[in-house]
Amino acid sequence: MNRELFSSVFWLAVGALFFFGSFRYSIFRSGIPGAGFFPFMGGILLIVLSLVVLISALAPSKKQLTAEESKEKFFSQKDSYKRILLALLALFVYWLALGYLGFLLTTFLFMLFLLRFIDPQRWITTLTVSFLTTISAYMLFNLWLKVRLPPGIWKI
Amino acid sequence: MDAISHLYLALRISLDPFNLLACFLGVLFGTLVGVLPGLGPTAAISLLLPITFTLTPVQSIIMLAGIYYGAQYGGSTTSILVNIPGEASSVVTCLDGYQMARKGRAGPALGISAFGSFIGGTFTIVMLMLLAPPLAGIALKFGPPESASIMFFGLTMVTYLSSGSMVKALMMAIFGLLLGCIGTDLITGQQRYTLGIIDLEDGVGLVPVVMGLFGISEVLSNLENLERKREIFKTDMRGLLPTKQDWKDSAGPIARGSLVGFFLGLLPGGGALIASLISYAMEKKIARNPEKFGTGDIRGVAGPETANNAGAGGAFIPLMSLGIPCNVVLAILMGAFMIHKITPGPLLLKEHPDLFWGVVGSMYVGNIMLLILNLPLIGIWVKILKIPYAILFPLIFLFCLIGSYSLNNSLFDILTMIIFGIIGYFMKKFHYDAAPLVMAFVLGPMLEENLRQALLISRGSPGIFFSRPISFLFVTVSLVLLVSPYLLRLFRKQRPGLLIKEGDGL
Repeated sequence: MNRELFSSVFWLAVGALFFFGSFRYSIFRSGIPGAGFFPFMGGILLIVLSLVVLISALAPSKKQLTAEESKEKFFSQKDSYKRILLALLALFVYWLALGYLGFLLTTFLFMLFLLRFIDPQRWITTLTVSFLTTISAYMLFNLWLKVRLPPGIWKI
Repeated sequence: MDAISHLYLALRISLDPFNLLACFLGVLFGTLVGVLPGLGPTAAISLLLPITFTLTPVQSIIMLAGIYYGAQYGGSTTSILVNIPGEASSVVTCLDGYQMARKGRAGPALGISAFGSFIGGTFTIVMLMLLAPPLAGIALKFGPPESASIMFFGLTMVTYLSSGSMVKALMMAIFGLLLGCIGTDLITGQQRYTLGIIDLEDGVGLVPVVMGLFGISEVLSNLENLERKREIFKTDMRGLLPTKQDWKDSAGPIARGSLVGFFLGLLPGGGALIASLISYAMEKKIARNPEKFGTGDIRGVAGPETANNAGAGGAFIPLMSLGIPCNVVLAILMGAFMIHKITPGPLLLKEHPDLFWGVVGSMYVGNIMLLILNLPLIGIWVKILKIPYAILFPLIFLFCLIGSYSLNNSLFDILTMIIFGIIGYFMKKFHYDAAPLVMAFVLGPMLEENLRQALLISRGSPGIFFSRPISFLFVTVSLVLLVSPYLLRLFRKQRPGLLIKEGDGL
């Protein structure tokens, strides 16, 4: 897959979203720029610049270069993608679970998972670090900084 | 007379016990995060941003400023001891600092970088005190066209000086501006791009965006490689102080580094990184024996380390007097100001003199604290370097999660942060620079407001930017900068030899 191609199409889409969205607001009325003016201009510029990247990625002179580039691996180690996906999974699950399970339990399980399953630590290390982190984060944020961390269904 | 009363105010506020504590915690946390490899000042300030919101505005800004220059200090420690720059502006410190460490002179290298940083930092604070008030006085007379054009110039400089492709940097700046449009329009009060989501009515949060872009994405790219063992050099405390000869060699580089750093710090997009690079190149050029550079020459440590701290301090001048953040860290700091409902800029001195002079005073105090703290604490920093990344990264994740949640007690902010973490990770992969994005995101709403007000005055004619001298100057320079790479490319095609020679200089 060509990286320049992929990224420029993504930004092209972002530019287009803002550009077409701006028509819902007043762009320019009787000499006065409205709420849609800024995103309208920004959208156009982002579209144009993405096209510049896109075209230069497709240009025949560059094709050989980008072909070489795409040969170089996307990930530097064979199992890189596994670690990244697991980390992202943990983040999403944390986000979903926080409201239900509450801060203490979610955080403990989150730390446990990351420590044990991404670059595996010994169980004793995993449990100690998870426990200490959860407790000290709770004390720092909830008790000292008075952030109201979600109690979850246990109400603690 | 005025200067003395200001100095008194500065000292009184910065020596208040709670402010002193804020400053102490700031420099301590800053150094700590600066020491951790892969987490530079930007990450440091993003990670610790939420902690400061429970404090008063003065304490919060004192602490954030402390984190910023503390992280600069911390970054040099890792460069010297493990050859890993803790942050970008310490890259050149690796060249000679690490070689000095290998020769058993880690102590003097750490010592001179601490003293150099202190001298450079102090020099710019004095300049900040002298220059910011008159500059703010001038800026008070600016109307919307002037303000808009200066912000435009600032953004242009950042994209011009950003690493990598300028087209991509421009794209990121525009994306940042567009992101800033989300939420309630400042002039008409309309909801824009909120998709009916209530959490978006106040706009996308700065904290989740920077934590995602600089915290989460950094960890994700570090997770690609399981780490190899690092070699850390042992230093003993007795050897920390530079010798008389070291001082003699370093005096010139430190003096020049202070000046270079200060002037480059003033420049939008300049700041610490370029200051340290230029200082190194300059010292090498001036030296009678340039071949010694790269083999553990103390001058190669003293100059850049002084310059990057001077640059870090110099950047406060445009922020405090014009309301223009010169680099991404100061943009985040500016965001912090605004979360406290304070707008940095010419009015800051008038409306919040306690904040301005308090922060200036705390920078003196903070620099002294760093000097006292860092020399004896190096042993502890070295121990922290030994914490395996496998244990460190879950902690960084957790900090980001709680941090982005805590500001508004909002689960939506956590989601925003995760999404920007993913975007930031791909941006790294595809070589898009996140700095212009964040700067534009912070400046965007103000740029838009001033631009639209200027056009309101002129009834829609863009001529207003060219009919006023100040905005004419800034808009013209910006346009020239934006076009110049293409002109240069044409030029290069005709006379290839000339430019390559210039490129070799640095």
